[in-house]
Amino acid sequence: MNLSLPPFFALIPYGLVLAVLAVFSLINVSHLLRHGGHFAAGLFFSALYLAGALMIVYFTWQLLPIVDWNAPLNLGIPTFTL
Amino acid sequence: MSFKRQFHLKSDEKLRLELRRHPVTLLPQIILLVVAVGTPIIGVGLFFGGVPSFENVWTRLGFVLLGSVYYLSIWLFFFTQIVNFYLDVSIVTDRRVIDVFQVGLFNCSISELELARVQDVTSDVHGLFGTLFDYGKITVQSAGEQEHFIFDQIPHPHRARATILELAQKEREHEGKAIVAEAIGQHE
Repeated sequence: MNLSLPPFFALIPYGLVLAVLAVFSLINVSHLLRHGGHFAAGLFFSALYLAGALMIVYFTWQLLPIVDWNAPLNLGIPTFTL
Repeated sequence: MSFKRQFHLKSDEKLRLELRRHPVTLLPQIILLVVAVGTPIIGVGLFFGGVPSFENVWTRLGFVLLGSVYYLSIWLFFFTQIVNFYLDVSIVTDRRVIDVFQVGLFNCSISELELARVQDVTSDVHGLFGTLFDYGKITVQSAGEQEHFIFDQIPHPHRARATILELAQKEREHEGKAIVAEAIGQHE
């Protein structure tokens, strides 16, 4: 017997990490816009950062395997019953 | 938010200098970014001989998602370095010197010194990079106290020193005139 799980389970820890990174990103952007002195420059750097981050997420999406996210999938770890 | 609002500058107070570290001082962080981005790509290329094609869906999922987290973390780290660089600023108005020292995301100290109290300003340029790109340290010593301001890795430090001294001289003259005018007013 093999252990099976739907692939969307892998997206849960990924989503949590993304949420933490998003919080830190927001703090950075807020610091830059509020205390940077030049709003336009702050906006430019923030947009540049956001573009880079979105590009990484886009490439991640492209590289993900095409699967049915809800259908249980074999983990490949054999389990034993006594 | 503009510096005028951020530091509550008076209506007739003018911003004369805005001192930030020289952009070339970001070079170590840029090199680190390039190495951190390039190493896994080269490593995977050498180990798998190209883009790996995993048969197991879970292995591929783990590989892609871990890679994504890694690159997002690096990007965020680099952005934080840029934000620290940008927020670490010293401004000189025609009345005072304000120094903002940003350490990380959650530590920031702001010091202020009136220009009329500036006693001595020293500028130093050290090392190969400092000499090549003309950046160095400015030390502003205030009168009467042991306190001093240090602005490090500032572009054109000698020019900035001359400007600060000139502004301090003007401010002292301005204050002197104001005191004399007040004394005459009281006498009359």
